[in-house]
Amino acid sequence: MSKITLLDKLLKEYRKWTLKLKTASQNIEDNILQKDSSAVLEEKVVSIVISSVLVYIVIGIVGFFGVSVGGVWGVVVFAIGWFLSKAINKKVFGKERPVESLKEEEKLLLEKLEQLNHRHEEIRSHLPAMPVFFTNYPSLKREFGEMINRLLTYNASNLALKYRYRHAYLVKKYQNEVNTFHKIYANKKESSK
Amino acid sequence: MQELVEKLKGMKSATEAQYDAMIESHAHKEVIKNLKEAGLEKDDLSDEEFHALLSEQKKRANSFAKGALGASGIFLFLELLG
Repeated sequence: MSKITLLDKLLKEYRKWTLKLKTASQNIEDNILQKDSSAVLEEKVVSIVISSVLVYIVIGIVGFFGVSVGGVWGVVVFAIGWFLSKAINKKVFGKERPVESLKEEEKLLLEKLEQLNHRHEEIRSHLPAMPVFFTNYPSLKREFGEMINRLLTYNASNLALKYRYRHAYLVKKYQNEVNTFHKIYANKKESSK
Repeated sequence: MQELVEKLKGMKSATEAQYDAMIESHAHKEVIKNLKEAGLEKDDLSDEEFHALLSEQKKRANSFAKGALGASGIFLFLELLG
């Protein structure tokens, strides 16, 4: 492959990659802000399941002693289950976190993520007019190294359980995008990582 | 995204398939817009790459729409039915 063709191919790959980086960053940001809107639906379904199970358990235990309950008591037990499920849901799903309520280190993390995205969008927007300076690679590499470090040391205990476990997965996906960056920007092969 | 929610709210007697089609159409437009901003066209991507971007966008739109409409009970009702 001629050098010009290779360069064109890499530039196109870089443009595509900026879209993937943005998605990976947005997913991490939404997760830290606990911004999964579908959780509203999941919470309601979990509440119904917990309440129904509680009704069956209580009626089963009481029935074991030969007492038959139903009607109003069933509704009362269901209401207790619904109330209990709210506490469980709060721990598992949490609530959306406004940016103002975040800790300083979290605000800084989101700001750095945004800056890094912006930096690469800037490079992308100047691609037709300006040459790519491969001398910038060490500083871009260092910025990604620092970002990965921030993400790995982020204290996820601030998050509800659902988002806490998802954080590690999203950081892994972000790391994969960073590896792709090295392959494209420095034209590194798999074995030379 | 707000525009999508308004459109979905306007579809009062629509079926779940019609809601899905509207979300898919919105996600498709968003992906094409993002590609254009990046200086790319659909043909620059393989089918697999395009579908990966579309799927990610659809997931986001779906999540947002369900959250926004979930409060009014539309999607909860549909989900419980389906």
